[in-house]
Amino acid sequence: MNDDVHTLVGAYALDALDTDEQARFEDHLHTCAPCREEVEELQATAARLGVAVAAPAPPVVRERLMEAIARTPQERPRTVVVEPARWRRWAPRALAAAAAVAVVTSGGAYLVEHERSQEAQQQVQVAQQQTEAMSAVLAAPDAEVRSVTLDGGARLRVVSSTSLDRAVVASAEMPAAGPDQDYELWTIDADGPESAGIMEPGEDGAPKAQLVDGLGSATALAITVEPEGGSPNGQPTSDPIATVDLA
Amino acid sequence: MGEAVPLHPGRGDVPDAPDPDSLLQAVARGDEQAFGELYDQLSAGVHGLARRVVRDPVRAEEIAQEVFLQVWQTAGRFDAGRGSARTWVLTLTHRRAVDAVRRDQSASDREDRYDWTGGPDYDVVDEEVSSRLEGEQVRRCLQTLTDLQKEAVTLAYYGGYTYAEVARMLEATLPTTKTRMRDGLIRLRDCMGVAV
Repeated sequence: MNDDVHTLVGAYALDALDTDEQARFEDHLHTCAPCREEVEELQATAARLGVAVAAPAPPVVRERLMEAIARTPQERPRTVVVEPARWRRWAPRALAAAAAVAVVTSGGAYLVEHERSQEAQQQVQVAQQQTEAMSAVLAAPDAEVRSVTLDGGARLRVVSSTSLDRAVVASAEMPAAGPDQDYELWTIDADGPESAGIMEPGEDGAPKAQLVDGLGSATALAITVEPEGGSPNGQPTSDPIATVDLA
Repeated sequence: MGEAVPLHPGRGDVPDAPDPDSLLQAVARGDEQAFGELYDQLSAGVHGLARRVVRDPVRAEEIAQEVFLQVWQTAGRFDAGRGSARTWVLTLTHRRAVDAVRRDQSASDREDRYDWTGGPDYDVVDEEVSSRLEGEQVRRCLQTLTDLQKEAVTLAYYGGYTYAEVARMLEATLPTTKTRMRDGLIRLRDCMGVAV
């Protein structure tokens, strides 16, 4: 059987295998890149046989569908394709198991396993929403990326999207803030700085990627070191360690 | 201080005439209008194929609905690097249609009902061809297959038969039947210039 398995590729593309054979062939596909390529081409060919007998559906099908999708949830996107290649360290990573969600931190991905417990599920949902929102910024057609290197070698990347009015701030090789300190993000516009939240530390203490919601008329983003929990008075208590112009 | 760089050069605004692949990306983000447009572009293919395989118009409508609902639910899982959106949707359709027709009729019934006119099933593409150009090209390219390759491919694709059933119906061995299906598809691919 194993010698023959490649010859099944045509029958597979035509859905002409029985259930067991189909499952076995699909297992084989995982390990055979040439077969996968051939299957893609032959399925595309078979699809043309389908288009050849196209026949419009009655309008009621469309109506029922539009109504159904309004109340049908979608599965979470599994992958975000981010270019150029240098972004891989900062981009949310797709994982083979649909059950795991990657939350972006500096220097790598922090995995949140999709467990059955209620609390874990809620955490995953929050993480998923964050990841989705961040992925949307990275994938926005008008996304722009700006980089800064700090004294000491830490690097910051800001991806901003005017259409989404949001930005993602990610860091690499950024030291953890001191024991009673936090990094705070600020948007700066004509009226001065406004807090955009604390950069939460990840497992290793370094700040995790942060979503900045609502850029508005901000002309720059800044990071300062503040007391733990952020500035007590809504204004930076020291000069920024980094500033990124948005204009 | 770093300079601003567009992350997606050349993509700027939304294109004027969205193709199924772009629409599917938008659907993955929950865009209901994009879903409607995707439906408008692909539904005739989906419905026509389902209709051709399962024959029953009501069943065909159900399949079309199930396919598009699945597209809505799983658009985020579609891997654009592995073929076009159109191929994906039609492959989903063909699978469901074939499963339906195999469930609804026993194997021996279906083999018995096969119309033994003795010749290759040329008419299979003549029926219900609303996409005339596409039908013409497929019809023309099916001519580049041997009669036996054409029979094997069309029995499998439009008839929903397994290769074992096709082998019995054409009184050929299993290896020969598998080879005819593969070689037939390869010839079709080359004739139509299919790019994945």
